[in-house]
Amino acid sequence: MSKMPETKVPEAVLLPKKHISAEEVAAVVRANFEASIIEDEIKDEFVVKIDRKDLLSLITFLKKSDELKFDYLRCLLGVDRGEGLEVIYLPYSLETGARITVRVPLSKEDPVIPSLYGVWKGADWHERETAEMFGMTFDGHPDPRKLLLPDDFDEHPLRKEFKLEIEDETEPSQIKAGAETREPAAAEPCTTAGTETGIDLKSKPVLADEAVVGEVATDGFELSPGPDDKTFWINVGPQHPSTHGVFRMMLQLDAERVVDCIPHIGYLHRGWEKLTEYRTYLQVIPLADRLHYLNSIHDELVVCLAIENLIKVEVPRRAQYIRVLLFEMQRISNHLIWYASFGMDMGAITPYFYGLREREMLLDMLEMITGARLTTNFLRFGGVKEDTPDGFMEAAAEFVEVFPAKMDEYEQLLTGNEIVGMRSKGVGILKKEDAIELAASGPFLRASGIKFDLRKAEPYSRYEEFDFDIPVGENGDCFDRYTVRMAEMRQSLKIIKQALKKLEETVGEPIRADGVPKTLKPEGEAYARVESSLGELGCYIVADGSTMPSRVKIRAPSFVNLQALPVMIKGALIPDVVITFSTIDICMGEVDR
Amino acid sequence: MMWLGKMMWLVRMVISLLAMLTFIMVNSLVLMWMERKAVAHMQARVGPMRVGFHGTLQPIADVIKMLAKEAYIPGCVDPYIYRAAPYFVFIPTFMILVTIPFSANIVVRELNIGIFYIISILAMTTVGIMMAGWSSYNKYSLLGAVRSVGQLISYELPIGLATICIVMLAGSLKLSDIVASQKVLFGIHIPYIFLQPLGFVIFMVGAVAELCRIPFDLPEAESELVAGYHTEYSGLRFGLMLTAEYFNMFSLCAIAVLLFLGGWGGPLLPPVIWFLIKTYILIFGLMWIRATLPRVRADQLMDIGWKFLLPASLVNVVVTGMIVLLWR
Repeated sequence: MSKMPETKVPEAVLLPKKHISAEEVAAVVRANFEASIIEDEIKDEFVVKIDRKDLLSLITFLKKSDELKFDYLRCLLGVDRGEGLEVIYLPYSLETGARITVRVPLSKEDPVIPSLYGVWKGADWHERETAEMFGMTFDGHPDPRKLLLPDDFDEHPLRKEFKLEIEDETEPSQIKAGAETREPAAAEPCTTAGTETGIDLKSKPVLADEAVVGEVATDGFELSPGPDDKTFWINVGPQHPSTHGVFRMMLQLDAERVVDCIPHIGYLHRGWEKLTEYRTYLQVIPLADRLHYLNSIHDELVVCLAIENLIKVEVPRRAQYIRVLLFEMQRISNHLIWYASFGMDMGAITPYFYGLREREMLLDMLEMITGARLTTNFLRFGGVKEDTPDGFMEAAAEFVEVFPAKMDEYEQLLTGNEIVGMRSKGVGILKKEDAIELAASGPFLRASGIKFDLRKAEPYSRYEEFDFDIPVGENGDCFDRYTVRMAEMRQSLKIIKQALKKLEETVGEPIRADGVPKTLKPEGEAYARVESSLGELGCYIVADGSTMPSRVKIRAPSFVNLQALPVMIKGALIPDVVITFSTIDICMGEVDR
Repeated sequence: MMWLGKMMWLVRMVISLLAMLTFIMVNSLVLMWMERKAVAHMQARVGPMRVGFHGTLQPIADVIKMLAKEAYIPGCVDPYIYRAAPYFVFIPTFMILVTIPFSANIVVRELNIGIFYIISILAMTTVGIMMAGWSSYNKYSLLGAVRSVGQLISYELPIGLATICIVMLAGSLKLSDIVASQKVLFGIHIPYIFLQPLGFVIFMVGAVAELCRIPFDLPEAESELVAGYHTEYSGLRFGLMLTAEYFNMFSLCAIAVLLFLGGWGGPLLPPVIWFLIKTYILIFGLMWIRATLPRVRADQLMDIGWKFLLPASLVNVVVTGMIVLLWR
């Protein structure tokens, strides 16, 4: 059996090339927009508050500016300040590393703001979500339909007027009351005849696709093609083998070729962001596990980082190394699941089981240290919950020992396979410019040839002490996304080795910072972002000095990456759609929140 | 005493048909179990283990489950075509099987145009699949059916042409003659696979496509079309289609054995055992392929069929024809 060579990755320049400081950004913006700045402040980054009429000119200036080159929209969110609303824009520059926070206040009576769709297409879903959650109007948005909420839901849940009614589940009387209602009802005779149940099984029902066409048509879309048109619409999902959860898309097909695609999300929307407003800060951590359940440590981390920024606490180094170890373990396990389903979507069933086999080792290790396999609830503000248990280091050493050979096995199955090449090379291409425009991130972005990784660009958890490479792709097709992820697993293994060594050196050191109060009452605002397995995972927290956050916004990487789907699959065939969708690597728990 | 002779013939026919039907069913169960176990072990798992020794009774449990299921007919289907389709898929497999000789004297009804008959009947399955996909009134089913019709038609040609070479070499369409001619060539036992290696490859690739198995399982591509043309089928109708699928696998491998691997010829063991061993080895090969390869795309499938297999088989026919002409 010949040994597979490691996947070759092309050279690229690591972005950002430099790091422009907040002062420099402030100087440029102040010089050009002196008159329109309402107030500004220099913190980690330059925070500027402007009126909505100046928004477009400021953003366009930032994007066009030769010095700053803001080419990337990290995030966009709405906040309810009580007396008024606010939209916060977080542009970034992949080129210069410049950061800025643009705040635009809005009144609740007239919440209209110009849309940024014309500047960054990546603003599309962010704006739709913000609009429905806060009842805002983004003037000039080409597709102002609801995104996550049901069409008939007329309220705006993230406004402060919208209150959740949370029942106290521990109240014994209520449990009792619940039990009484659950008394078994008198058994009703089961009827099979259709007429008795009011449903006539014999009659011809409304065809599923006709109903769908009607439904979408009410959203302002003309779906039914003319009589001469050869195209037809097909509904894929939310229950479909390859939509990886409850994603749904409407495909307009000309025979098997895709003419148009309308994605629908929101089937798994749980109101995560609203729920956090009814939790104490510590209670947000276990809730964060439920975002991307294969990536829970990253979700916890991003919340912790934001809070740690606010309460200014230094995390001890042993805790940082444990964190890094867990991140990389989860990155590998996430990529393994991705590898498994990638094979499955192409019709190769064997990779599925191979991928799951090694993931099991990782989950066992995760269980040893955190006590859970998926919803870990392990990070704490200023550290981690527990130190490594006995036997953990041995298990980790064993994994490090066996994994490289397993990696070769995976690559043997798919990398050199002729059919995999035929299916994935040149399919689902995402061009460099489109990737930046749509604010893609993670392996998805790097496959398009952009060497940008937050672990290098803005190191957190002492990533700067670790030695690793950032694999990138060349063409941005499905095969590149595959090779990038495979190479990333090898890099993660390298980091795990280093982390294990550092853990051995720091045995007995503290794992939690001193001076973190039992009841947190931070005040201020912070945006933290980390490189999760899928891309840039961000968390914007607005803390008002009470025990509960006033607003938590999660910038989910797969939510943003998923926007690129229609761009990538125009003109492709149905099998290409499946495989392209699979290489985006999404998790509906995170997309819908 | 004419009527007695006719009665005897009738009784013999009925008994052998019943035997054949039993064989189809039992063989499908064996193949089902074999496929699950073989593929499971290739995929680092164990497969069914609970029912019987190493899950040997699992297929029986599956069949009982399938028989007990409600054969639900969706409201908007075309009822007659929908009901008839499974039979159009199943009956051709049976029609093919009755003409396949298991050894020199184990055969229900051997025809002197045997291989020609088999190739023509093979095309009938296409009709059944199209009926199923069309009548289901479901876009996924329809796409699956259209794909499979395209696929089956394009791959029947190479199969037919590969068979023609064997017919030229053997000088007969009758399967037992073809098997016999593989023994006497040059006075020693040489299966046609050594004379027709390209023909064998073409036949087997065509067979995989004809059977709609990975890497050519586009008509029922699970990750794209849910279950293709049989998405809307359940219960016994679904069971018939499944059985037909397994049985086509057996038939095509058996034909490959008869044409290329010397049929039932072999030392020591009884001929019928040799025949079954060879057939099952080929079937195992198909399962192996299934556990290894991903699926090709529809346009690539057509490329393989029309741009590679068809020219290759035409060249094969011409070369074989010239050699045969010169040899005689």
